[in-house]
Amino acid sequence: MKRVFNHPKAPATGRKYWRSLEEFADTPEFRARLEREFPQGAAELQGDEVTRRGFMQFMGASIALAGLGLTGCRRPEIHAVPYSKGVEWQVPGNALHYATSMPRRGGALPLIGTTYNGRPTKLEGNPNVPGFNGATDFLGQAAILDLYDPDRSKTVLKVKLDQTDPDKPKELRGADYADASWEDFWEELAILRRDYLKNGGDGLAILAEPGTSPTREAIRAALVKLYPKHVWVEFDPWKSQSPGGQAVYNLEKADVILSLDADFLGATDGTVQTIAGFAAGRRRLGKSEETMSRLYAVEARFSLTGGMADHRLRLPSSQIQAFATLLASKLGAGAGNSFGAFSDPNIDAWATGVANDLTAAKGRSLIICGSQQPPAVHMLVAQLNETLGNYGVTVTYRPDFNLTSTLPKPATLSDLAEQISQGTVKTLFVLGGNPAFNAPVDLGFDDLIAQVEQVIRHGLHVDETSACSTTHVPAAHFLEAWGDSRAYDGTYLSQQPLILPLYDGISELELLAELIRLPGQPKTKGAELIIDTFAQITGLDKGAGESFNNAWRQFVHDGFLAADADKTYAGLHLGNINPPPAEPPPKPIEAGKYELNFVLGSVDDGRYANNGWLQELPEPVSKLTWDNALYISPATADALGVNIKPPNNEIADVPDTDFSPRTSNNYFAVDPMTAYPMVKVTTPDGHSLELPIIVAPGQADQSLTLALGWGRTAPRLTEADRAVVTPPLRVAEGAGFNAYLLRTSATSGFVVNVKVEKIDKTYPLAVTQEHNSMEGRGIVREAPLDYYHQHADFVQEIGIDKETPQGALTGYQNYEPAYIPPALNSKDHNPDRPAWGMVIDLNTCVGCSACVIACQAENNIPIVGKFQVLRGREMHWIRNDRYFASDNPPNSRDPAYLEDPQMLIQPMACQQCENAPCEPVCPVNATVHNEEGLNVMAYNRCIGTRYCANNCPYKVRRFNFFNYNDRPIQNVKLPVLGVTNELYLGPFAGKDGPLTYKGSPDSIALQKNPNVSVRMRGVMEKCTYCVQRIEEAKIDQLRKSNNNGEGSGNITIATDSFQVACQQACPAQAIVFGNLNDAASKVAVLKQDERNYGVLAYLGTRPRTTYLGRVRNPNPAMPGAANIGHTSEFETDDGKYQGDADKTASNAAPQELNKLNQEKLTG
Amino acid sequence: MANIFPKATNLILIKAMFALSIIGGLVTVAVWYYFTPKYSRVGYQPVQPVAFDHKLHVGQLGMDCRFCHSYVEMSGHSNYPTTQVCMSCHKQVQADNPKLQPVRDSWATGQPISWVKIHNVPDYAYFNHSAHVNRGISCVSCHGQVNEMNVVFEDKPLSMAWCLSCHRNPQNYVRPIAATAPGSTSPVFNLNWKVPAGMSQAQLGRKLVHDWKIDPPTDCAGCHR
Repeated sequence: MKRVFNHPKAPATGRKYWRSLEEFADTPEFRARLEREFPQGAAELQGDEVTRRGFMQFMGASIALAGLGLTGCRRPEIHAVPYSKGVEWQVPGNALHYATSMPRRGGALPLIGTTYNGRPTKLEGNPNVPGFNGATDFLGQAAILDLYDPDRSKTVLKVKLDQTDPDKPKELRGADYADASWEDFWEELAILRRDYLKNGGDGLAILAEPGTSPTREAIRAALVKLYPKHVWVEFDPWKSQSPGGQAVYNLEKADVILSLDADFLGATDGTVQTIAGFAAGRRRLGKSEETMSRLYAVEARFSLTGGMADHRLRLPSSQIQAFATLLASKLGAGAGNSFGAFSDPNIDAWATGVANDLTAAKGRSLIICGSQQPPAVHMLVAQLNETLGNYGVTVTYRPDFNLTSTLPKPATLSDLAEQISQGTVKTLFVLGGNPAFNAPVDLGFDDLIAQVEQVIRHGLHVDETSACSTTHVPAAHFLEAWGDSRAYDGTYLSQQPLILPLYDGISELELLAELIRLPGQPKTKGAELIIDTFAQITGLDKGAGESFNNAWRQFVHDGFLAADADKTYAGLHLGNINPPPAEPPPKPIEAGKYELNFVLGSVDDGRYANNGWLQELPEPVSKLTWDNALYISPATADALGVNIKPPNNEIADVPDTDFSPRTSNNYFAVDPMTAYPMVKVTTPDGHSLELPIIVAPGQADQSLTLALGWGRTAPRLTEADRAVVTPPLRVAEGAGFNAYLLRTSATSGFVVNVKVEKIDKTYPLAVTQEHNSMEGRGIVREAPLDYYHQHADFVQEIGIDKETPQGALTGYQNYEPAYIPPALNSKDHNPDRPAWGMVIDLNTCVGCSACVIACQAENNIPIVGKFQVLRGREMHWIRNDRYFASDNPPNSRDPAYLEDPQMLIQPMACQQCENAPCEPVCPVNATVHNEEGLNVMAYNRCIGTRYCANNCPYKVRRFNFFNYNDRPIQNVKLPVLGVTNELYLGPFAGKDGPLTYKGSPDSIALQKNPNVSVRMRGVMEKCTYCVQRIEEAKIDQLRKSNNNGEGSGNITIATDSFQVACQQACPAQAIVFGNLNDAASKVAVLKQDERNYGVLAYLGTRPRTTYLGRVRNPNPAMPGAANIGHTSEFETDDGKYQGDADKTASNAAPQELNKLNQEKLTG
Repeated sequence: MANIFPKATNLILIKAMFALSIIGGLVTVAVWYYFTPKYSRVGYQPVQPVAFDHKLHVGQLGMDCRFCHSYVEMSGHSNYPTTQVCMSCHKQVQADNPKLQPVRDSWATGQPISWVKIHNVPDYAYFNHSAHVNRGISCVSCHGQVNEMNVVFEDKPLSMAWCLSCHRNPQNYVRPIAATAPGSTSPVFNLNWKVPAGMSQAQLGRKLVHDWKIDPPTDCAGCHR
């Protein structure tokens, strides 16, 4: 008889954890979706014309034909091709590692690149550089895919002569390309050089991105000398508004942290170090001598930083200045409060509480200011940090890199714009960046560039800026070029190429070096560019011979300079810097109008928009992929008339096969093809944009948030050009909306008083927030710090766990289970074998998503495209589940409870259950257990029944519905919904027929990890605990043990000697993997931690991956402190903690259930 | 009573039998082919671009396997020699032999020699040479007596069942690694090595398996990743 497992009932009162508005409302559609193996339609073969029956007919016919030809009977001849001449260090099959660094805004990221036979496949953090934990962020992980981007520009392009007429409209300018050669370009450059050397550079302008490379500064010095009249311009759309110097934080030393609109855990710059430091502060859970840090966040959008905060205040970005001023007055600093008090008394109480806490932690506190806040706020925050005695302890200031030099200050983009309109610029170099796309809209920069007679554009892609240039020069990726840079904290880093330029590009340094080369001098190339700078920085003599060469080689090998005097910047205070010209504070938001603030998403400022991994990476909070959208608060939604409540709390029946776009504004629509309502946003400057909206819990009222960087448009090309120019930006085009169209020079961070009106349009958004939802109690667990001190094992008090013996459900070693799976219990089982396990610390995981991309890069996980994500077919092996927590509303659909929830993030991958429910249902034994406790997948056995995914309570299995790894990138507008970014149309898609749609670009195949099978259509896959790394470590030890019969004979892998991909990438070191049988390993120690619990462990799955419960550190003096981190089980109706005595007094049902389930497991 | 079955149905039985016999024949052919060493290509002996004679080089001249397959102890792949390795001898020895013309061409042009791969496991099976030769599994166990082959052919089926037959009973194949006599080759690379007199392979194997804690994986993840 089939026994239905009865999940314990969730309590009706107390705290509630939910992932989406639909779950919050618990609609029937949501329940229907929960019970599905895949979201509705995910399992359907649904194209425009092909039905399942048609598909079977075609397949049957093709198999019959294939059988007639018997082409499959002969195996192809395979060739093995060795080198003709041996390559130094190269052992076929073994990886080589090189240190390099990734240039980034605000400081480079040190990396170690892995190459196989000369092709880079993976990037990791450089573990030797202090402060980075050997970790990376998601951009660092995704950079490897950019290297192989097939859409990168490959040749020099020149506009045909008759197109250089400056009076031509800009869109025509780049629209008629001729293929040029490098010789043509060098010739063009030589003529330029000759002319400008004569006139001292009059009319020459160079627009570059703010860089961190000392070598570039050196070249610039030469430029200033040779061309004294040239204009050097630097522009980055997200450059910090800080008037001088970049703050460098030491979060490890900070006990009380206040973030003012600063997403220092989730933003794209410098986060590796800030997360590492922050995590160290959160690990201090002890009672007395050490103090857990406390984080306060004041912000408009619910960011990851807000999610980690112990106290969070929703406040529009434009009111941050007023709040900072209020805080300053409470702290007895600052020059009076010109803003007046906030009307909300809660805010005043909040500021008082924070001020008291900051004062109490003088010298151990820290205030962080958001980078796009006006300069005045940065100055005020610097002053407050000084007042609190934090300067030199938790915060120092590093100069902007060009501030140290004696060179003239770079001009700004508006200076350049003015000069162009005056006609003084004759030749403009645009090095990197994409100003035609991301310059402030009021400058009209694309039109301006088109007015310049000669524009030489150096870029990775033929993009918006190339379209208004006269010459496009392909750039080399940073992994293809020599360079140097400085890290966020100023450490000098080397940048070593891992591969020769794939697409014939040159680096920015090489191009600039060519400008300063005098006639007759030899070309400087490669490392020669850097070696002089290195000599200068180290003070070594280049002519010293071997000793210098050794120092240089050591530097390139290590990737950084350990002894670098420039790292300390004594005396540089923000307070010492001349205050910027006073600007009027932001206007208050008028009633009925809103503030629009800008953030950076996964594609940064748009430069990574053609990276499919980043496009498909769910935004950590909203879980939106492939697009950006306008985030509005539930109250705003109400005001705009977007219905977030089902009418009359009743839901009409949704037909099961309904795939048509929903036109209703019913926000609770649980359709995979959910069409989101759209609004029209108009700024006071008159710029407007139509945008889809996402109702975001925790968003500040009157505040709207929009991510920059999406809405890339490829240059308009004629048919003839298409033959010459690489298909531009196949991934980026059509994804999202261009927020730069609303952003002006004066409003880089936020615009106040924008008008919003609902329009009668909808737009499909691929949101993964409730794909793979789990059902059950106690999935995420948390407690406040003081409760944790009294009840260190609080995780055992949550859910059904409290009814079972201590550790019974998760403890690997302490508990004698009633049942051991056969693979772990066979008579042949060798007890010396390792037992792999993982612990994820929810207390330090901030949800930055580096693990998601790291896993994708390591395990050859394909992207699937927006349309497939809409159907729930995304392939990520590890996902970050984001839970909101709020009081359990008496009426479960009351949106008031949506407004200010708390957030928890839980990384979720295959739990490697010892009693894996997926295994017994597989008809072909494709997923089985091995003796080391891994739930392994044999892809070649899998026949794609998907029973395993159906039976997985954690919903962590992924199915290859198409040959995602063997499909080209196609940017086709689908007849349904007009979705672009549909990369995988299935075998019969398109009128060109199936055959033209085969094969992925060769360059993408080069990125694949050779140690992991590339899965094909019809195969199930999931997290393997990076089994290739496990096996490699074991074989490595075997190699060492008995090499030539002289080895140690020891075949035991050294404790924690290797890491899995997600663990290695994690800046917080929240993911710990290792051998549970090795008592000295970190993971074995953490498994004994009292905060250790298994998700849904009451099912008897005995997961090998377990979690450490989250501890929050609320300040009792703050408003609302009693509600923070208290799970319902701790509380009785009067809000008090439940004492030990009546711990067992809860209902008897769980006990009974447990007995039932135990029975089921044993019997 | 009218006929239930129309006249056309008379032939159904014959047609069905005909169809069944064809299907049956196909099944027989398939089993004949796919279930035998023919499918696993034992004996596969393609024509190589250079007529390299292993019997001459290894059997007669006594060259060690590792002279050419130099990384077999350090890497999962056993590399093919570069043209450079060939030329290190054949610059002097047999410098004008027409059979070596492709090698000289390769050396002159830098174009590598495209050898035909004989021993091939599917892409989803990750065989690691270094894990085997460092643990006492000789080349001969998988590749046969290459020292006696004029032209190399596939000697063993390299099928999964064949792999498992050793992984389950490693004592039948494991050899000592250290050379048994001074100056002699390690038994792993000595293709003519015999178990010392007075001892059976099983006895020796059991001792080595115990001493070296040999525990070959028999689960999927051992080879499939």
